[in-house]
Amino acid sequence: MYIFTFDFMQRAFIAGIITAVLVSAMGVFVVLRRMSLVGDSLSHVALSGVAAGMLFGFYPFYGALAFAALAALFIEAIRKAFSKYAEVALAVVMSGGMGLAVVLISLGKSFNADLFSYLFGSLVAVSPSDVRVISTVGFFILLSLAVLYRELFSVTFDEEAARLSGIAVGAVNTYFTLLVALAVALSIRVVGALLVSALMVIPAAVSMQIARSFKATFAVAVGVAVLSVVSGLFISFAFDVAPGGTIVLIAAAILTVVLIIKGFRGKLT
Amino acid sequence: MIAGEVNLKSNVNTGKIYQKNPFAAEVVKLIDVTFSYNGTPVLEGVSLSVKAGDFLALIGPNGAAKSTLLKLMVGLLKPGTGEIRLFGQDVRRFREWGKIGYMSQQAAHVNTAFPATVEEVVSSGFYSGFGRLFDGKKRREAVERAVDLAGIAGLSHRLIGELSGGQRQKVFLAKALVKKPQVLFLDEPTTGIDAASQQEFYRLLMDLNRHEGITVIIVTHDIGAAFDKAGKIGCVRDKKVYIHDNTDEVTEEHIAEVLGYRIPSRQKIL
Repeated sequence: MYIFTFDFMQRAFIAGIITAVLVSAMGVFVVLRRMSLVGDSLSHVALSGVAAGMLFGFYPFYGALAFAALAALFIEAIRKAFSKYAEVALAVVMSGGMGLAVVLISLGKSFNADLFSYLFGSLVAVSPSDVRVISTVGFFILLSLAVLYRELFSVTFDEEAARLSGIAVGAVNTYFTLLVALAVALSIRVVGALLVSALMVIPAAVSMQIARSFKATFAVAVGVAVLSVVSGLFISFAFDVAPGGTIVLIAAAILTVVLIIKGFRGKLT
Repeated sequence: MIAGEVNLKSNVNTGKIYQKNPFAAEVVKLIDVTFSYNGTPVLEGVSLSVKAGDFLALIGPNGAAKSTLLKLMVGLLKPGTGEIRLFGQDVRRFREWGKIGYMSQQAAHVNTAFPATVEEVVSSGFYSGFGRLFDGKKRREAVERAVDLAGIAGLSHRLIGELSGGQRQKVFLAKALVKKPQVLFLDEPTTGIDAASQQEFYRLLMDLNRHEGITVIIVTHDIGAAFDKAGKIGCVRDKKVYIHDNTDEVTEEHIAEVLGYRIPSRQKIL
Protein backbone atom coordinates (compact mmCIF):
# COMPACT_ATOMS: atom_id res chain seq x y z
CA MET A 1 0.00 0.00 0.00
CA TYR A 2 2.85 2.25 -0.87
CA ILE A 3 0.40 4.42 -2.81
CA PHE A 4 -1.02 5.71 0.50
CA THR A 5 2.32 6.98 1.70
CA PHE A 6 1.66 10.02 -0.48
CA ASP A 7 -0.41 12.68 1.21
CA PHE A 8 -1.93 13.77 -2.05
CA MET A 9 -3.11 10.21 -2.79
CA GLN A 10 -4.78 9.97 0.62
CA ARG A 11 -6.59 13.21 -0.13
CA ALA A 12 -7.53 12.05 -3.63
CA PHE A 13 -9.05 8.87 -2.19
CA ILE A 14 -11.03 10.68 0.50
CA ALA A 15 -12.31 13.28 -1.96
CA GLY A 16 -12.95 10.62 -4.60
CA ILE A 17 -14.98 8.30 -2.39
CA ILE A 18 -17.12 11.13 -0.99
CA THR A 19 -17.68 12.39 -4.53
CA ALA A 20 -18.64 8.90 -5.72
CA VAL A 21 -21.23 8.36 -2.97
CA LEU A 22 -22.70 11.79 -3.44
CA VAL A 23 -22.89 11.98 -7.19
CA SER A 24 -24.20 8.46 -7.69
CA ALA A 25 -26.90 8.79 -5.02
CA MET A 26 -28.06 12.03 -6.66
CA GLY A 27 -27.73 10.30 -10.01
CA VAL A 28 -30.54 7.82 -9.27
CA PHE A 29 -33.03 10.69 -8.93
CA VAL A 30 -31.41 12.65 -11.76
CA VAL A 31 -31.81 9.77 -14.22
CA LEU A 32 -35.37 8.92 -13.15
CA ARG A 33 -36.41 12.55 -13.45
CA ARG A 34 -34.83 12.70 -16.93
CA MET A 35 -32.50 15.45 -15.77
CA SER A 36 -29.25 13.88 -17.00
CA LEU A 37 -28.54 16.94 -19.12
CA VAL A 38 -28.98 19.21 -16.11
CA GLY A 39 -25.86 17.76 -14.50
CA ASP A 40 -23.94 18.30 -17.69
CA SER A 41 -25.11 21.90 -18.09
CA LEU A 42 -24.32 22.74 -14.49
CA SER A 43 -20.83 21.31 -14.72
CA HIS A 44 -20.04 23.69 -17.59
CA VAL A 45 -21.20 26.62 -15.49
CA ALA A 46 -19.17 25.35 -12.53
CA LEU A 47 -16.14 25.47 -14.78
CA SER A 48 -16.73 29.14 -15.49
CA GLY A 49 -16.92 29.64 -11.71
CA VAL A 50 -13.49 28.04 -11.39
CA ALA A 51 -12.11 30.28 -14.14
CA ALA A 52 -13.61 33.36 -12.44
CA GLY A 53 -12.00 32.32 -9.16
CA MET A 54 -8.61 31.98 -10.79
CA LEU A 55 -8.93 35.25 -12.65
CA PHE A 56 -10.11 37.33 -9.71
CA GLY A 57 -8.04 35.56 -7.11
CA PHE A 58 -10.59 33.80 -4.90
CA TYR A 59 -10.79 30.12 -4.06
CA PRO A 60 -11.93 28.47 -7.35
CA PHE A 61 -14.07 25.90 -5.54
CA TYR A 62 -16.26 28.63 -4.07
CA GLY A 63 -16.60 30.07 -7.55
CA ALA A 64 -17.73 26.68 -8.86
CA LEU A 65 -20.28 26.21 -6.06
CA ALA A 66 -21.71 29.72 -6.38
CA PHE A 67 -21.91 29.76 -10.19
CA ALA A 68 -23.50 26.28 -10.33
CA ALA A 69 -26.05 27.18 -7.64
CA LEU A 70 -27.02 30.39 -9.45
CA ALA A 71 -27.32 28.49 -12.73
CA ALA A 72 -29.58 25.92 -11.02
CA LEU A 73 -31.97 28.65 -9.90
CA PHE A 74 -31.83 30.17 -13.37
CA ILE A 75 -32.66 26.81 -14.98
CA GLU A 76 -35.68 26.38 -12.70
CA ALA A 77 -36.85 29.90 -13.56
CA ILE A 78 -36.59 29.58 -17.33
CA ARG A 79 -37.93 26.05 -17.22
CA LYS A 80 -41.21 27.59 -16.11
CA ALA A 81 -41.11 30.09 -18.97
CA PHE A 82 -40.41 27.33 -21.53
CA SER A 83 -42.41 24.61 -19.83
CA LYS A 84 -42.96 22.70 -23.08
CA TYR A 85 -39.33 22.98 -24.17
CA ALA A 86 -37.39 22.31 -21.00
CA GLU A 87 -34.26 21.46 -22.96
CA VAL A 88 -34.09 25.05 -24.22
CA ALA A 89 -33.30 26.13 -20.66
CA LEU A 90 -30.51 23.58 -20.45
CA ALA A 91 -29.01 24.48 -23.82
CA VAL A 92 -28.97 28.16 -22.86
CA VAL A 93 -27.29 27.48 -19.53
CA MET A 94 -24.81 24.97 -20.94
CA SER A 95 -23.59 27.09 -23.84
CA GLY A 96 -23.76 30.26 -21.72
CA GLY A 97 -21.63 28.62 -19.04
CA MET A 98 -19.09 27.34 -21.53
CA GLY A 99 -18.95 30.69 -23.29
CA LEU A 100 -18.32 32.49 -20.03
CA ALA A 101 -15.65 29.95 -19.08
CA VAL A 102 -13.82 30.39 -22.40
CA VAL A 103 -13.87 34.19 -22.13
CA LEU A 104 -12.59 34.11 -18.54
CA ILE A 105 -9.88 31.60 -19.48
CA SER A 106 -8.67 33.73 -22.38
CA LEU A 107 -8.56 36.78 -20.11
CA GLY A 108 -6.17 35.05 -17.73
CA LYS A 109 -3.75 33.35 -20.12
CA SER A 110 -1.41 32.07 -17.47
CA PHE A 111 -3.56 29.50 -15.66
CA ASN A 112 -4.31 27.13 -18.53
CA ALA A 113 -2.48 24.12 -17.07
CA ASP A 114 -4.26 24.40 -13.73
CA LEU A 115 -7.60 24.73 -15.47
CA PHE A 116 -6.90 21.51 -17.36
CA SER A 117 -7.08 19.70 -14.03
CA TYR A 118 -10.60 21.04 -13.48
CA LEU A 119 -11.65 19.90 -16.93
CA PHE A 120 -10.53 16.29 -16.61
CA GLY A 121 -9.88 15.81 -12.90
CA SER A 122 -6.59 15.49 -11.11
CA LEU A 123 -4.94 13.47 -8.36
CA VAL A 124 -2.16 15.76 -7.30
CA ALA A 125 -4.31 18.88 -7.31
CA VAL A 126 -6.64 17.91 -4.43
CA SER A 127 -5.59 20.27 -1.63
CA PRO A 128 -6.37 19.90 2.10
CA SER A 129 -8.89 22.74 1.83
CA ASP A 130 -10.53 20.95 -1.14
CA VAL A 131 -11.01 17.90 1.08
CA ARG A 132 -12.52 20.07 3.82
CA VAL A 133 -15.02 21.70 1.42
CA ILE A 134 -15.90 18.38 -0.23
CA SER A 135 -16.60 16.66 3.09
CA THR A 136 -18.56 19.55 4.60
CA VAL A 137 -20.77 20.29 1.61
CA GLY A 138 -20.96 16.57 0.82
CA PHE A 139 -22.31 15.78 4.29
CA PHE A 140 -24.90 18.53 3.89
CA ILE A 141 -26.04 17.12 0.53
CA LEU A 142 -26.34 13.54 1.83
CA LEU A 143 -28.27 14.74 4.87
CA SER A 144 -30.67 16.65 2.61
CA LEU A 145 -31.17 13.54 0.46
CA ALA A 146 -31.91 11.41 3.51
CA VAL A 147 -34.36 13.91 4.98
CA LEU A 148 -36.15 14.59 1.68
CA TYR A 149 -36.11 10.97 0.49
CA ARG A 150 -39.88 10.51 0.65
CA GLU A 151 -40.67 13.84 -0.97
CA LEU A 152 -38.21 13.19 -3.77
CA PHE A 153 -39.57 9.69 -4.36
CA SER A 154 -43.17 10.93 -4.53
CA VAL A 155 -42.40 13.89 -6.78
CA THR A 156 -40.26 11.74 -9.08
CA PHE A 157 -42.86 9.00 -9.30
CA ASP A 158 -46.08 10.99 -9.72
CA GLU A 159 -45.93 14.75 -9.42
CA GLU A 160 -49.68 15.42 -9.39
CA ALA A 161 -50.37 12.86 -6.70
CA ALA A 162 -47.43 14.23 -4.69
CA ARG A 163 -48.94 17.70 -4.81
CA LEU A 164 -52.23 16.31 -3.51
CA SER A 165 -50.56 14.56 -0.62
CA GLY A 166 -49.44 17.95 0.63
CA ILE A 167 -45.89 18.11 -0.74
CA ALA A 168 -44.64 21.54 -1.82
CA VAL A 169 -43.61 20.22 -5.23
CA GLY A 170 -42.16 23.49 -6.55
CA ALA A 171 -39.92 23.97 -3.53
CA VAL A 172 -38.75 20.34 -3.61
CA ASN A 173 -37.87 20.62 -7.32
CA THR A 174 -35.90 23.84 -6.88
CA TYR A 175 -34.06 22.50 -3.84
CA PHE A 176 -33.20 19.30 -5.67
CA THR A 177 -31.75 21.19 -8.65
CA LEU A 178 -29.71 23.22 -6.18
CA LEU A 179 -28.37 20.00 -4.63
CA VAL A 180 -27.42 18.72 -8.08
CA ALA A 181 -25.52 21.95 -8.67
CA LEU A 182 -23.57 21.58 -5.43
CA ALA A 183 -22.79 17.91 -6.09
CA VAL A 184 -21.59 18.67 -9.60
CA ALA A 185 -19.39 21.55 -8.42
CA LEU A 186 -17.83 19.32 -5.75
CA SER A 187 -17.01 16.51 -8.09
CA ILE A 188 -15.18 18.50 -10.77
CA ARG A 189 -12.09 18.39 -8.53
CA VAL A 190 -11.62 14.63 -8.91
CA VAL A 191 -13.48 13.63 -12.08
CA GLY A 192 -13.42 16.93 -13.95
CA ALA A 193 -16.16 19.15 -15.32
CA LEU A 194 -16.52 17.32 -18.61
CA LEU A 195 -16.97 13.91 -16.99
CA VAL A 196 -19.12 14.62 -13.94
CA SER A 197 -22.38 13.72 -15.60
CA ALA A 198 -20.99 10.32 -16.60
CA LEU A 199 -20.33 9.46 -12.96
CA MET A 200 -23.84 10.66 -12.19
CA VAL A 201 -25.59 8.69 -14.91
CA ILE A 202 -23.66 5.45 -15.48
CA PRO A 203 -23.88 3.95 -11.94
CA ALA A 204 -27.62 4.71 -11.89
CA ALA A 205 -27.98 3.07 -15.29
CA VAL A 206 -26.15 -0.04 -14.04
CA SER A 207 -28.25 -0.32 -10.90
CA MET A 208 -31.54 0.11 -12.76
CA GLN A 209 -30.60 -3.01 -14.71
CA ILE A 210 -30.12 -5.21 -11.67
CA ALA A 211 -31.63 -3.75 -8.47
CA ARG A 212 -34.82 -5.30 -7.11
CA SER A 213 -36.11 -2.28 -5.18
CA PHE A 214 -35.68 1.47 -4.98
CA LYS A 215 -33.46 1.29 -1.91
CA ALA A 216 -31.34 -1.39 -3.57
CA THR A 217 -31.01 0.90 -6.60
CA PHE A 218 -29.22 3.42 -4.38
CA ALA A 219 -26.99 0.79 -2.83
CA VAL A 220 -25.92 -0.66 -6.19
CA ALA A 221 -25.36 2.78 -7.76
CA VAL A 222 -23.20 3.90 -4.84
CA GLY A 223 -21.32 0.59 -4.94
CA VAL A 224 -20.59 0.86 -8.66
CA ALA A 225 -19.46 4.49 -8.30
CA VAL A 226 -17.14 3.81 -5.37
CA LEU A 227 -15.69 0.77 -7.14
CA SER A 228 -15.09 2.83 -10.29
CA VAL A 229 -13.48 5.71 -8.40
CA VAL A 230 -11.22 3.57 -6.22
CA SER A 231 -10.00 1.35 -9.05
CA GLY A 232 -9.78 4.39 -11.33
CA LEU A 233 -7.54 6.20 -8.87
CA PHE A 234 -5.23 3.17 -8.56
CA ILE A 235 -4.93 2.85 -12.34
CA SER A 236 -4.54 6.58 -12.76
CA PHE A 237 -1.67 6.56 -10.25
CA ALA A 238 -0.01 3.50 -11.75
CA PHE A 239 -0.12 4.62 -15.38
CA ASP A 240 -0.09 8.38 -14.83
CA VAL A 241 -3.29 9.06 -16.76
CA ALA A 242 -6.10 11.53 -15.93
CA PRO A 243 -8.29 10.05 -13.15
CA GLY A 244 -11.58 11.38 -14.51
CA GLY A 245 -11.29 9.53 -17.79
CA THR A 246 -10.12 6.31 -16.13
CA ILE A 247 -13.02 6.38 -13.64
CA VAL A 248 -15.61 6.94 -16.35
CA LEU A 249 -14.15 4.19 -18.57
CA ILE A 250 -14.31 1.70 -15.69
CA ALA A 251 -17.93 2.64 -14.93
CA ALA A 252 -18.78 2.28 -18.62
CA ALA A 253 -17.05 -1.13 -18.69
CA ILE A 254 -19.16 -2.28 -15.72
CA LEU A 255 -22.31 -1.15 -17.52
CA THR A 256 -21.27 -3.03 -20.66
CA VAL A 257 -20.59 -6.23 -18.73
CA VAL A 258 -23.94 -5.99 -16.92
CA LEU A 259 -25.80 -5.42 -20.19
CA ILE A 260 -24.04 -8.37 -21.84
CA ILE A 261 -24.78 -10.70 -18.91
CA LYS A 262 -28.39 -9.53 -18.86
CA GLY A 263 -28.76 -10.01 -22.60
CA PHE A 264 -27.19 -13.46 -22.34
CA ARG A 265 -29.54 -14.46 -19.52
CA GLY A 266 -32.51 -13.08 -21.44
CA LYS A 267 -31.64 -15.44 -24.31
CA LEU A 268 -31.36 -18.41 -21.98
CA THR A 269 -34.74 -17.96 -20.32
CA MET B 1 -55.23 0.39 13.52
CA ILE B 2 -55.78 -3.34 13.90
CA ALA B 3 -59.30 -2.74 15.13
CA GLY B 4 -59.97 -0.83 11.93
CA GLU B 5 -58.74 -3.73 9.89
CA VAL B 6 -60.97 -6.23 11.69
CA ASN B 7 -63.87 -3.91 11.28
CA LEU B 8 -63.18 -3.63 7.57
CA LYS B 9 -63.09 -7.39 7.15
CA SER B 10 -66.33 -7.83 9.06
CA ASN B 11 -67.90 -5.28 6.77
CA VAL B 12 -66.93 -7.28 3.74
CA ASN B 13 -68.03 -10.55 5.32
CA THR B 14 -71.42 -9.40 6.50
CA GLY B 15 -71.95 -7.52 3.28
CA LYS B 16 -72.89 -4.43 5.21
CA ILE B 17 -73.76 -1.67 2.81
CA TYR B 18 -73.51 1.99 3.63
CA GLN B 19 -76.99 3.46 3.21
CA LYS B 20 -77.34 6.50 1.01
CA ASN B 21 -78.14 9.44 3.20
CA PRO B 22 -80.21 12.18 1.56
CA PHE B 23 -78.74 14.69 4.00
CA ALA B 24 -75.16 13.55 3.42
CA ALA B 25 -72.50 16.22 3.56
CA GLU B 26 -71.29 17.80 0.36
CA VAL B 27 -67.86 16.53 -0.60
CA VAL B 28 -67.39 18.63 -3.71
CA LYS B 29 -69.32 21.69 -4.76
CA LEU B 30 -68.80 23.81 -7.86
CA ILE B 31 -70.63 27.12 -8.19
CA ASP B 32 -70.70 28.78 -11.60
CA VAL B 33 -67.20 27.68 -12.52
CA THR B 34 -65.53 28.79 -15.74
CA PHE B 35 -62.21 27.56 -17.06
CA SER B 36 -60.23 28.46 -20.20
CA TYR B 37 -57.11 27.09 -21.85
CA ASN B 38 -55.14 29.91 -23.47
CA GLY B 39 -58.23 32.08 -23.79
CA THR B 40 -60.48 29.33 -25.16
CA PRO B 41 -63.24 28.51 -22.67
CA VAL B 42 -63.62 24.76 -22.08
CA LEU B 43 -66.05 24.92 -19.13
CA GLU B 44 -68.67 27.63 -18.65
CA GLY B 45 -71.04 28.23 -15.77
CA VAL B 46 -70.61 24.76 -14.31
CA SER B 47 -72.38 24.13 -11.01
CA LEU B 48 -72.59 20.74 -9.41
CA SER B 49 -72.54 19.00 -6.09
CA VAL B 50 -71.22 15.60 -5.06
CA LYS B 51 -72.38 14.19 -1.74
CA ALA B 52 -70.67 11.77 0.62
CA GLY B 53 -71.27 8.21 -0.56
CA ASP B 54 -71.90 9.15 -4.20
CA PHE B 55 -70.36 7.24 -7.08
CA LEU B 56 -70.12 9.77 -9.90
CA ALA B 57 -68.79 8.86 -13.33
CA LEU B 58 -67.79 11.79 -15.55
CA ILE B 59 -68.10 10.79 -19.16
CA GLY B 60 -67.91 12.68 -22.42
CA PRO B 61 -66.22 12.88 -25.80
CA ASN B 62 -62.45 13.30 -26.11
CA GLY B 63 -61.31 16.80 -25.28
CA ALA B 64 -64.52 17.62 -23.40
CA ALA B 65 -62.57 18.79 -20.34
CA LYS B 66 -63.44 15.78 -18.14
CA SER B 67 -59.95 15.59 -16.68
CA THR B 68 -59.87 19.37 -16.39
CA LEU B 69 -63.03 19.21 -14.32
CA LEU B 70 -61.47 16.60 -12.02
CA LYS B 71 -58.30 18.66 -11.62
CA LEU B 72 -60.36 21.72 -10.78
CA MET B 73 -62.18 19.76 -8.08
CA VAL B 74 -58.93 18.89 -6.27
CA GLY B 75 -57.26 22.24 -6.84
CA LEU B 76 -54.58 21.14 -9.33
CA LEU B 77 -56.04 23.78 -11.67
CA LYS B 78 -57.42 27.16 -10.69
CA PRO B 79 -60.80 28.22 -12.10
CA GLY B 80 -61.10 31.42 -14.13
CA THR B 81 -64.22 32.44 -12.25
CA GLY B 82 -66.56 30.73 -9.79
CA GLU B 83 -66.11 28.90 -6.56
CA ILE B 84 -64.97 25.37 -5.77
CA ARG B 85 -65.44 23.84 -2.34
CA LEU B 86 -63.93 20.61 -1.08
CA PHE B 87 -65.44 19.31 2.17
CA GLY B 88 -67.00 22.74 2.64
CA GLN B 89 -63.70 24.61 2.34
CA ASP B 90 -62.46 26.79 -0.47
CA VAL B 91 -60.25 24.39 -2.45
CA ARG B 92 -57.43 26.95 -2.54
CA ARG B 93 -57.16 26.73 1.23
CA PHE B 94 -57.83 23.00 1.52
CA ARG B 95 -55.04 21.22 3.42
CA GLU B 96 -56.65 18.04 4.79
CA TRP B 97 -54.82 15.86 2.30
CA GLY B 98 -55.61 12.67 4.21
CA LYS B 99 -59.26 12.99 3.23
CA ILE B 100 -58.67 12.70 -0.51
CA GLY B 101 -57.15 9.94 -2.61
CA TYR B 102 -56.12 10.82 -6.15
CA MET B 103 -55.21 8.47 -8.97
CA SER B 104 -53.69 10.42 -11.85
CA GLN B 105 -53.38 9.34 -15.47
CA GLN B 106 -49.79 8.51 -14.57
CA ALA B 107 -51.04 5.00 -13.82
CA ALA B 108 -51.33 4.35 -17.54
CA HIS B 109 -48.10 6.12 -18.47
CA VAL B 110 -45.78 5.03 -15.69
CA ASN B 111 -42.15 4.52 -16.60
CA THR B 112 -41.84 0.72 -16.42
CA ALA B 113 -38.10 1.06 -15.82
CA PHE B 114 -38.79 2.84 -12.51
CA PRO B 115 -36.99 0.53 -10.10
CA ALA B 116 -39.48 0.50 -7.23
CA THR B 117 -41.42 -2.33 -5.59
CA VAL B 118 -45.18 -2.34 -5.14
CA GLU B 119 -44.67 -1.78 -1.42
CA GLU B 120 -42.42 1.25 -2.00
CA VAL B 121 -44.90 2.81 -4.41
CA VAL B 122 -47.94 2.27 -2.17
CA SER B 123 -45.99 3.49 0.85
CA SER B 124 -45.16 6.74 -0.93
CA GLY B 125 -48.87 7.60 -0.81
CA PHE B 126 -48.64 7.72 2.96
CA TYR B 127 -47.12 11.15 3.36
CA SER B 128 -46.98 12.44 6.88
CA GLY B 129 -44.78 15.52 6.63
CA PHE B 130 -42.49 15.90 9.62
CA GLY B 131 -44.19 13.06 11.48
CA ARG B 132 -42.42 10.57 9.22
CA LEU B 133 -39.70 9.64 11.69
CA PHE B 134 -42.20 8.10 14.06
CA ASP B 135 -44.74 6.59 11.72
CA GLY B 136 -43.00 3.35 10.68
CA LYS B 137 -45.51 0.95 12.21
CA LYS B 138 -48.53 3.02 11.21
CA ARG B 139 -47.22 3.23 7.69
CA ARG B 140 -46.64 -0.52 7.39
CA GLU B 141 -50.14 -1.26 8.65
CA ALA B 142 -51.68 1.29 6.31
CA VAL B 143 -49.78 -0.18 3.34
CA GLU B 144 -50.84 -3.71 4.28
CA ARG B 145 -54.47 -2.68 4.50
CA ALA B 146 -54.35 -0.79 1.19
CA VAL B 147 -52.78 -3.63 -0.80
CA ASP B 148 -55.37 -5.97 0.75
CA LEU B 149 -58.23 -3.70 -0.28
CA ALA B 150 -56.87 -3.38 -3.82
CA GLY B 151 -56.39 -7.13 -4.08
CA ILE B 152 -52.64 -7.13 -4.65
CA ALA B 153 -51.44 -8.43 -1.29
CA GLY B 154 -49.24 -11.08 -2.88
CA LEU B 155 -47.33 -8.64 -5.07
CA SER B 156 -45.71 -6.40 -2.44
CA HIS B 157 -42.12 -7.22 -3.31
CA ARG B 158 -42.47 -7.28 -7.08
CA LEU B 159 -41.07 -4.44 -9.20
CA ILE B 160 -43.86 -2.38 -10.74
CA GLY B 161 -42.28 -2.78 -14.17
CA GLU B 162 -42.91 -6.52 -13.99
CA LEU B 163 -46.66 -6.25 -13.43
CA SER B 164 -49.46 -6.41 -15.98
CA GLY B 165 -51.34 -3.22 -16.81
CA GLY B 166 -54.30 -4.34 -14.71
CA GLN B 167 -52.13 -5.11 -11.69
CA ARG B 168 -50.37 -1.78 -12.02
CA GLN B 169 -53.69 0.09 -11.91
CA LYS B 170 -54.42 -1.64 -8.63
CA VAL B 171 -51.05 -0.53 -7.26
CA PHE B 172 -52.02 3.07 -8.01
CA LEU B 173 -55.40 2.47 -6.43
CA ALA B 174 -53.73 1.10 -3.30
CA LYS B 175 -51.44 4.15 -3.26
CA ALA B 176 -54.51 6.39 -3.38
CA LEU B 177 -56.19 4.35 -0.61
CA VAL B 178 -53.28 4.21 1.80
CA LYS B 179 -54.33 7.27 3.81
CA LYS B 180 -57.90 5.95 4.22
CA PRO B 181 -59.41 8.77 2.18
CA GLN B 182 -63.09 9.68 2.30
CA VAL B 183 -63.19 10.42 -1.41
CA LEU B 184 -61.34 8.93 -4.37
CA PHE B 185 -60.67 10.96 -7.52
CA LEU B 186 -59.69 8.81 -10.50
CA ASP B 187 -58.57 10.16 -13.86
CA GLU B 188 -59.20 7.58 -16.60
CA PRO B 189 -57.83 4.75 -14.47
CA THR B 190 -58.58 1.94 -16.90
CA THR B 191 -56.85 3.34 -19.97
CA GLY B 192 -54.89 0.70 -21.84
CA ILE B 193 -55.86 -2.38 -19.87
CA ASP B 194 -57.82 -5.39 -21.06
CA ALA B 195 -61.60 -5.66 -20.71
CA ALA B 196 -61.58 -8.29 -17.96
CA SER B 197 -59.18 -6.22 -15.81
CA GLN B 198 -61.33 -3.16 -16.42
CA GLN B 199 -64.41 -5.01 -15.20
CA GLU B 200 -62.55 -6.16 -12.10
CA PHE B 201 -61.30 -2.67 -11.41
CA TYR B 202 -64.80 -1.20 -11.56
CA ARG B 203 -66.11 -3.95 -9.30
CA LEU B 204 -63.38 -3.04 -6.82
CA LEU B 205 -64.42 0.61 -6.92
CA MET B 206 -68.04 -0.34 -6.38
CA ASP B 207 -67.07 -2.44 -3.35
CA LEU B 208 -65.08 0.46 -1.90
CA ASN B 209 -68.04 2.75 -2.45
CA ARG B 210 -70.65 0.42 -0.98
CA HIS B 211 -68.75 -1.33 1.80
CA GLU B 212 -66.23 1.31 2.85
CA GLY B 213 -68.48 4.28 2.19
CA ILE B 214 -65.82 5.98 0.07
CA THR B 215 -67.15 8.63 -2.31
CA VAL B 216 -65.93 7.89 -5.84
CA ILE B 217 -65.51 10.44 -8.63
CA ILE B 218 -64.14 8.89 -11.78
CA VAL B 219 -63.35 10.24 -15.23
CA THR B 220 -63.83 7.57 -17.86
CA HIS B 221 -64.54 7.11 -21.54
CA ASP B 222 -66.18 3.75 -20.88
CA ILE B 223 -69.93 4.48 -20.94
CA GLY B 224 -70.88 0.85 -20.38
CA ALA B 225 -68.90 0.50 -17.17
CA ALA B 226 -70.03 3.89 -15.90
CA PHE B 227 -73.60 2.94 -16.57
CA ASP B 228 -73.22 -0.42 -14.82
CA LYS B 229 -71.52 0.76 -11.67
CA ALA B 230 -72.03 4.46 -11.04
CA GLY B 231 -74.95 5.88 -9.09
CA LYS B 232 -74.66 9.22 -10.87
CA ILE B 233 -73.50 10.01 -14.35
CA GLY B 234 -72.07 13.39 -15.28
CA CYS B 235 -72.03 14.09 -19.00
CA VAL B 236 -69.41 16.68 -19.89
CA ARG B 237 -70.28 18.23 -23.21
CA ASP B 238 -70.27 21.67 -24.86
CA LYS B 239 -68.60 23.31 -21.84
CA LYS B 240 -71.40 22.12 -19.55
CA VAL B 241 -71.88 19.24 -17.15
CA TYR B 242 -75.23 17.43 -17.00
CA ILE B 243 -75.63 15.18 -13.98
CA HIS B 244 -78.19 12.39 -14.03
CA ASP B 245 -79.13 9.93 -11.33
CA ASN B 246 -78.45 6.52 -12.79
CA THR B 247 -82.03 5.23 -12.46
CA ASP B 248 -84.07 2.89 -14.60
CA GLU B 249 -85.40 5.78 -16.64
CA VAL B 250 -81.93 6.69 -17.85
CA THR B 251 -80.72 4.28 -20.50
CA GLU B 252 -77.26 3.81 -21.89
CA GLU B 253 -78.64 4.98 -25.25
CA HIS B 254 -80.02 8.12 -23.67
CA ILE B 255 -76.66 8.99 -22.17
CA ALA B 256 -74.91 8.30 -25.44
CA GLU B 257 -77.38 10.56 -27.19
CA VAL B 258 -76.73 13.38 -24.74
CA LEU B 259 -73.05 12.99 -25.47
CA GLY B 260 -73.60 12.96 -29.21
CA TYR B 261 -72.22 9.47 -29.72
CA ARG B 262 -73.60 7.48 -32.63
CA ILE B 263 -74.61 4.12 -31.26
CA PRO B 264 -75.99 1.00 -32.86
CA SER B 265 -79.52 1.85 -31.80
CA ARG B 266 -82.07 -0.81 -31.06
CA GLN B 267 -84.75 1.57 -32.23
CA LYS B 268 -83.48 1.38 -35.78
CA ILE B 269 -84.07 -2.34 -35.84
CA LEU B 270 -87.54 -1.97 -34.39
